[in-house]
Amino acid sequence: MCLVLSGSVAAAASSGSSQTQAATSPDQPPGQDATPSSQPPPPDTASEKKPKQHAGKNKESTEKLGKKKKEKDASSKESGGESAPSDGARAPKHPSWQPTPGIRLDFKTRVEIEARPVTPEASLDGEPLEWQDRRVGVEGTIFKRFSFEVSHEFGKDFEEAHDLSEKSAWKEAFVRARLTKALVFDAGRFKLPFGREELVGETNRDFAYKSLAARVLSPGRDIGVMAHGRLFDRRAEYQVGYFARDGENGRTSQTLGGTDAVAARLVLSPFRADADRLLAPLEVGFNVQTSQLDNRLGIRGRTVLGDGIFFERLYMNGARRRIGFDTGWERGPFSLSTEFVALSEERRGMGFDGADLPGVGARAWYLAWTWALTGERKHGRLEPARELSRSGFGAIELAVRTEELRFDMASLPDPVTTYSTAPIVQANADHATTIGVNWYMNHYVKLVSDVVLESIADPARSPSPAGGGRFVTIVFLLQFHF
Amino acid sequence: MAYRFAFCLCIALLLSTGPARAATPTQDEFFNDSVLQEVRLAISTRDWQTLKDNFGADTYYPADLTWNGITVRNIGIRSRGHATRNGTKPGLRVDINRYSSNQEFLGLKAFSLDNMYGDTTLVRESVTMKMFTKMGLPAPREAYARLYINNEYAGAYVILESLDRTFVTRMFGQEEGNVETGGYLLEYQWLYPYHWEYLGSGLDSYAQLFQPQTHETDSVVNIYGPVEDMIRTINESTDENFAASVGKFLDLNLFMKHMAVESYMVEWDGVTGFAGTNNFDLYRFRNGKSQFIPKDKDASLAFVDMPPTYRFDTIVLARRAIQVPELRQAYIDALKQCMALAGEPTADDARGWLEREVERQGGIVKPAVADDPVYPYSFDDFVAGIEILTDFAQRRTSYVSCEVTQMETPADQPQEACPAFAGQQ
Repeated sequence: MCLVLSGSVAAAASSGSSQTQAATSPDQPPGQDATPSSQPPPPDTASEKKPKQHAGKNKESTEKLGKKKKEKDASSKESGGESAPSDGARAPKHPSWQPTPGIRLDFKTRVEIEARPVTPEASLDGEPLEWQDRRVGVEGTIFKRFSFEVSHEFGKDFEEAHDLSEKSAWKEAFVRARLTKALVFDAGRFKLPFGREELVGETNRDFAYKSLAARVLSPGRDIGVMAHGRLFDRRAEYQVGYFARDGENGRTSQTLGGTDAVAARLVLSPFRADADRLLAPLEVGFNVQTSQLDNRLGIRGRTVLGDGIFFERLYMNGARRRIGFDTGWERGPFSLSTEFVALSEERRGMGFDGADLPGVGARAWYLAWTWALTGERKHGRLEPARELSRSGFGAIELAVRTEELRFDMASLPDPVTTYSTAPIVQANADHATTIGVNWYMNHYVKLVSDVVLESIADPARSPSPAGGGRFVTIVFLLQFHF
Repeated sequence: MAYRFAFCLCIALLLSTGPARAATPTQDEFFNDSVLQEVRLAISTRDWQTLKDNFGADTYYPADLTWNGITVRNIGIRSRGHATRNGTKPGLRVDINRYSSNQEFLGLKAFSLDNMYGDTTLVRESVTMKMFTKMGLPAPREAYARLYINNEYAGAYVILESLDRTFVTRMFGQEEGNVETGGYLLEYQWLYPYHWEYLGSGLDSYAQLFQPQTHETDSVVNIYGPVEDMIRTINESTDENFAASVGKFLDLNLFMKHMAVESYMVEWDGVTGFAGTNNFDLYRFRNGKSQFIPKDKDASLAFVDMPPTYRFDTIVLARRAIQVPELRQAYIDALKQCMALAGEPTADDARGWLEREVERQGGIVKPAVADDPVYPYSFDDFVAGIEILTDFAQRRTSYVSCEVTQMETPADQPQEACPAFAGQQ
């Protein structure tokens, strides 16, 4: 077995949840790694003991209790300078400091250690014992209406180490002005509002690796400005922003990606107020994003773990457009989520005599399902009812995801004989199924164990040509976070 | 208390630097031509047979590569070469990252195993590339190797550095090697005897001759527009403006140096080849200027008495460049530099560098050739070939020297008579 060790300490990272989950926390930006798991429902709230409670009310009560807890913690910090257990039975979630009334700083970290055995079919050896993510950061609130978040990565994860996508050392770095619940402004570096899973923080993910739809086709972080807010008693959340570039997922250290990106996301919870209805937790998201590629390399098809390229990037010239649709549903110990993302890139004037070449299109989807076998309520990251360190076993969750990323055939200019060294441009697709078991030892420690079964349509462009394009990867991820 | 412990643990992990790594061999060791390398490929027996049976196809097959204790698995190999392609001793292109995109071997993404099927000595190309390098020109690195296929000796090969983005980065720096914004490397494809005539404004004519090795999918105008501009200028600029006009597209001084090396080393199938221009790559820098890169020099060191302006009259670029006094002088100077380098003795050996180099490289590859089960010649042919090259090294300078003297003699002065070229005209 060959091990890959990675670590990270994340700032806002103890966050991380779906866009919609962020809605449950008024101080969290929709779309940032902010999540309810950074403010999980206290164990003594009704959330676990009364799973049948109205979902919306449940969230609100959680919020109120969380707020009371925050105030209590804050008061304890004023006296002690550091948060302390509020009830003597539960540790605080992360260190905080309140230098003066109205100003509060929260320090958050995340370290991840990943182990990946050799994949025999593809002969993929991970590099032995190498740190990846080590992230640390701070969030601050100033007189309630203003806040900021800064986080820094000290390591290089697999994607960055192999230049699969550009990963700036500065992750989140933005300021926020909250005028009303319906109108909040962010400026700085943060995730473009696009995609459900892409907007989930890493500590709240159900799998070691994000879906192909999120990691390959969704934009990721960049510098820009964004307006967002909640409307109609939280039945709708919106985000719309302008960004100088179109996200680091679509570029590497040597490619510039798109510029002048406009992105928007709308999340609807149409049944939110319907108390005991099965559909109350349902959330539906719509995403659009457009940007400009001026003779730049486009998106390439990467396998789940990024080891293989099954569709090479081509030069593009013109508009890059993304559209997405997603749904999420959580009730009791179960969750279901699905997402569809389509990307198109133009190749204007790139042929002989300035003729346009057909654009390149890609589509990705996934369907994911989780079940907390130990019965905890699913709300982003599980909070174990009986922690390992308190004579319990923690929480166990089963997670299954099936997904596909497909690239359409592109074409090269005639005469094609000239381009014998050009990448193969026939259509290709990666279909993957991930089966995972997540062990939440306590609030701070989680072990993710995933088996990824992948199949590439064209074996000759897969990491496993001798295996007919099929290969299995096992991944273990040990995560510490604050 | 628990959270404090956990927090401290996170900080400790954060600050840790991870385990130390053992030193790994370098590219220089792989391309070290002072030792006979040993390269091993493990490939399915059926795939190997299929590759040999279909040597004309560019189909890749998965294999494992082992060198100096390092094993790289899941690489791709395919048959390579033009006239030297065969199913008995196939030349191989080795793509390290064909299937595992992040995979590298000593920082290389590809290299070739050249069978040198047309050269009894196997050393002509490597010696010539050495001369390019000594002259300060970019050239691929080469080394000799015994190749083992599934632990069976498959013959003597020459390891060739690929002319690709990795090469560009090594020679010209990171910015030139940038995946997206770096320069353009174009491989000249011999299709017919082409002499650098202007082929018209249609870019498809140039696209047939120059195959992109970087920017493969870039817009046609970006790849070939500057090529068309350059060739039009080469053909249409006035004699007075030739150097200035063409100089915007091509570093003419470096071109003259390149020509001098080819001429001194008697590369008769090069830029001024017997059947038109051949065997070069053209690298266009980010600033728009191009430079020639040598390739496939296994026919060099051919005729000891070949004049250094052989076929200059047939190639537009060479014919016009040599008529510019400054460029003519640059060419003569470069020839003199070649002669000086070739004749450079050491403290304990009066023989020139070229003669010593032929002997040295021949000595390194000799045991591999002696055991080669698919060497297409006899071992006596190898020995005789090395003797011919040694003779070339001993006598070439005197021929070139005579020609240079002739070139430097004003037209109205009596010319020194040089021996007539008895080789291929």
